[in-house]
Amino acid sequence: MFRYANPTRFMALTSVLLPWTIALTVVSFAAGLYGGLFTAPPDYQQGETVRIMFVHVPAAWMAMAAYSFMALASLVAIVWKHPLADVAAKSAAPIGACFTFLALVTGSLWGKPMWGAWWVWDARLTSMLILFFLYLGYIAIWQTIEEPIRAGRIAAILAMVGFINIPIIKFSVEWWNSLHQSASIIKVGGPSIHISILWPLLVMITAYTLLFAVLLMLSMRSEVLKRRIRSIRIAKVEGFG
Amino acid sequence: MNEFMAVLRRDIKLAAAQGGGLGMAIGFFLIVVSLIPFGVGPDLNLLARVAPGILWIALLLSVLLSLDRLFQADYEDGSLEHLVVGRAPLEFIIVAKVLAHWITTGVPLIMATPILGFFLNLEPDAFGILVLTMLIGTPALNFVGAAGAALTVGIRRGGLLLSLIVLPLYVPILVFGVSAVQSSMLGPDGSMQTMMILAAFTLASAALAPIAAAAALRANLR
Amino acid sequence: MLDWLFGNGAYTGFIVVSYGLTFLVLGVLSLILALDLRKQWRALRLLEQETGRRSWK
Repeated sequence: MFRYANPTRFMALTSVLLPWTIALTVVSFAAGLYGGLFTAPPDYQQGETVRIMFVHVPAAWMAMAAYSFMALASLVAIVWKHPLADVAAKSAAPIGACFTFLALVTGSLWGKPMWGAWWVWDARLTSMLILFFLYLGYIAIWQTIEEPIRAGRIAAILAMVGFINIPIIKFSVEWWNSLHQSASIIKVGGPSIHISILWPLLVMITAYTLLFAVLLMLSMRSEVLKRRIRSIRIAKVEGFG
Repeated sequence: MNEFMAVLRRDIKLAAAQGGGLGMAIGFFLIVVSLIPFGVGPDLNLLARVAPGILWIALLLSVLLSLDRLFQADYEDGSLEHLVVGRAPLEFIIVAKVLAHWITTGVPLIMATPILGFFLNLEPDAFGILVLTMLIGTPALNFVGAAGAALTVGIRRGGLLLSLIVLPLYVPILVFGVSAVQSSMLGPDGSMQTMMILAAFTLASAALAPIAAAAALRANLR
Repeated sequence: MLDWLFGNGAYTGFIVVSYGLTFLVLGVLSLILALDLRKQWRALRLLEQETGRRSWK
């Protein structure tokens, strides 16, 4: 894994990987959309709105996965002082925040016909909202602290603190929710999910994961270039000064 | 241990000598609570129902407001650097500082709570349990907040960033603090389990938050 | 029109808005990241011409 530690190797590797990943992403999105919109049958309880699941569940999954990725990259950055891990964690945050936002909005759009309200303080939606706040705090750290090394350290500590807290927050929100209401909360999925719904969902999850990989590579490449530009500028100033 | 007591005593003395910060925190607590009836109306039944939640949220905001003083003054006069490079483990120093901070702001705020409870028509039975849950739960607010304060020490507009970072992490403490009071209104021993969970949060945050705070201070002062 | 989209039993409007918004947000995000990458490449090339350093192809 550390063979790709070197930014030069990373740039070479991603320039080969990127076109293939993009192609795979497009193909799996096409297959997933076809399956989700045309072949999957409407649900007997929820009717056609069940189709929102094919964009909602993958977004929620990626929201969690991107945060876990960010926390893992932060751990690597702190423990092994790996320069690319820092870049990876920083790049993953805005992408993860976008997925979280989409999970919230599609959840709300799904909730309106199901619950009769745009927002319900359901345990899942609420913990997703808190996750969104955690992303905002993390992004704010990078934007506030100017020196990259210090910002990287501080952001990495915050990402790990947040990661430890996610299960606690989820537990407390579920507790709180069961205390206050147990109204018409629909149960999505479960073991009895039919294969005609399951395969488009899995394909969509794959598509979202691939898209995350593509966006992460794009963003990491820009960040590597930015740091390269910064170091050339500093060398230039020192050389003439 | 000597350093621990020395830092604890020094911080308490400093807070007692300045005094202003504590007065402001209590004033803020009072004002936030008295704003609530203007917002939701003076209906006493409604106020009684939301009182535990309001008091907890107001307390949480007051603690949040006082957090930036935890490291900022020491950072500005340079004594924080001495503590970081000193012989005593930084984690212990942080525990001492947090304890001093809790004694000088947390405890007085909690003592003010019963008076504010009258404003909100809090049920008489709930007073004791409310103060008890706050005594158990507020150290967790201070410990988690200390990690946030250490992360943002020396940053311009750090206060705003601090609230953005710390408030999501306060959700579990708020949930269990309020539900302990509410379940005590329903039955006598309904709140025991919730209090145990709250105590577990406090112990866990006392164990883990100083480690994060120490790492953050080292990163910020390098 | 809106009534028909959101009021019918099939909830067409909700599905259209969910899918539309999802792909709008993801599309805009991809575009921003791709444009930023292109901008950084150009800045690096320019700097390399000035200083005579070479980094990556």
